[in-house]
Amino acid sequence: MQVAKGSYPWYSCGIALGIAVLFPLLAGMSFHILNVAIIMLIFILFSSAWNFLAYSGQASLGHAAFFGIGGYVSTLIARSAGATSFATILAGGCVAAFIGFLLGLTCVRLKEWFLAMVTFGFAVILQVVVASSLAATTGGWDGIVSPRLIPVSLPNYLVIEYYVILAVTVVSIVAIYLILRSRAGLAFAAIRENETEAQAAGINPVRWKLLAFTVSSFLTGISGALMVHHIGFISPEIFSADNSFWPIIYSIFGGLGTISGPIIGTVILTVVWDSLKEMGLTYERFVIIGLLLIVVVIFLPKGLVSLPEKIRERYAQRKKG
Amino acid sequence: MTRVLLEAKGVTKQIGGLTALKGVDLAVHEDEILGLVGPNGAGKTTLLNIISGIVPATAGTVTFMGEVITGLPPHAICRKGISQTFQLALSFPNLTALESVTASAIFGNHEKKKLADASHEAENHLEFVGFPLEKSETPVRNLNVVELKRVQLARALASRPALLLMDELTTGLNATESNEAVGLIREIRKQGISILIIEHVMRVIMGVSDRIVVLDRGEKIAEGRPYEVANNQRVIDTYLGDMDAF
Repeated sequence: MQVAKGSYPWYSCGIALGIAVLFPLLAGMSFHILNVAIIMLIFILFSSAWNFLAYSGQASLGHAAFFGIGGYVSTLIARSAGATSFATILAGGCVAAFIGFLLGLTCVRLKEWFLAMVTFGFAVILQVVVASSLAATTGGWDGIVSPRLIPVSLPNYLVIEYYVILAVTVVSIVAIYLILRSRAGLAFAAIRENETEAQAAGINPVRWKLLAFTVSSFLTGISGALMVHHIGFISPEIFSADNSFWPIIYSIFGGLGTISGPIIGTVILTVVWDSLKEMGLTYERFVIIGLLLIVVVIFLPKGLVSLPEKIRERYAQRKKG
Repeated sequence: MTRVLLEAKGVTKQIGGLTALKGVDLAVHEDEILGLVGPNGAGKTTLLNIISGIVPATAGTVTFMGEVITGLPPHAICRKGISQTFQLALSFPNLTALESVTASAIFGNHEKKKLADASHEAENHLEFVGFPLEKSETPVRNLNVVELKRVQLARALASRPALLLMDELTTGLNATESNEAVGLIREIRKQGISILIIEHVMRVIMGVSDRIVVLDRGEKIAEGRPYEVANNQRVIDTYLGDMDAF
């Protein structure tokens, strides 16, 4: 399962991309639906970035830190420069990557849950620092306005924004796919499966884990920058545990360690989440999502992506029986 | 005698209050198969793990091809030309047999090669160790013990080592499979690879080794050709006179 070969037939990718491209037309330009779809795309990128880290056997409970760093860096540069551009978003990603690299350097030797706790603590510390010590620049808990990705004055600005974010997400996922199909993917998988044996095969776990941490932080920073420029606002709330946990939930729900897992998980849970809200089940939806997650983890530990395989197995068993 | 390939001097390992190894000296020569024997808890695996860098030594030095390698991380030692198979063959449970060996073909030495070339090389190694190639795309977790051992051996060979450390290769194998393993060990030596082997099946180690080192409670108690060691009084006493084991 380096990256399960042949499990991403071109037609399923084509259909998914086709739906994504045609979506604004299908959605009838509804402001609400487009908004939900944009946030969904951003979380697909965020979850894929988190999952990329998990692929190398590392776990983070504080990825909101890099999400927030990307958002703040891009916002502050854009505010001083007067406009949002790909350069500020890229800068957000680069600073997140650099800080991810430094954090990785100090704790990449830690095993999964110890690393997870360090990242969780890092996000908490960052939230407090941004809200208090850096309040003069960041606006403290009140937050600051972030320039929009596409000026609201443009006609169909939300549709343009949707396509820009779709393009960034697709390019990032293709990049993740290519990395995981390369020798780097093999090194990540070997380290995740058995670190001692990986070392015996000549793989330097520190180097590769650090690379995974840096790339994951970079993509998370990019997604954070896209988020704040879409919303038009940023506050220390961006570092909240919610933002650290959603990508984990999406990835586990869809299928850990797969390319399509975070995509499927994010799409389905976002649709369910938003539909329940539309139905007026504001608080009940937490319970429903929680139950769904429990059911999937118990019956489909490899996530929703393993459902077709499970059905095939059942069908084959029945035929035998 | 040929040139010394690996030399361990005064290797000591303290684990808490226990001394697992007490100043062990050992040398492996080029083209040699050196057997390492001793009762359970003698420190054989610890010594192997110190040579490969998995366990740090408390004192002593290990020199390989004239270079001190003590303190180097395992991946660096592997790339210098020492590879190891483990007593408990776990490999990479969710990777295929071919991927497991390919990883070593790519990262185990300093040669730059493409993934496809490394994969082809890995296939040759799997074939050499007698792994059924129709199972090369099978996840390692679905393989039986014999197949797992073969994958591990192919993984160790794929890094193109000068010295192979083998820890209990025949554990879990029946008599026929053990004989095949002995044949394989000899074939490996023919490729110019020296071997340091731990084995509990005395018939295997006596038949295949050029020299044998005997450890007991962390100390080297004997060293020599198989028949010399088998007739050594201290070795006989250590094995409680149970020379049938030999």
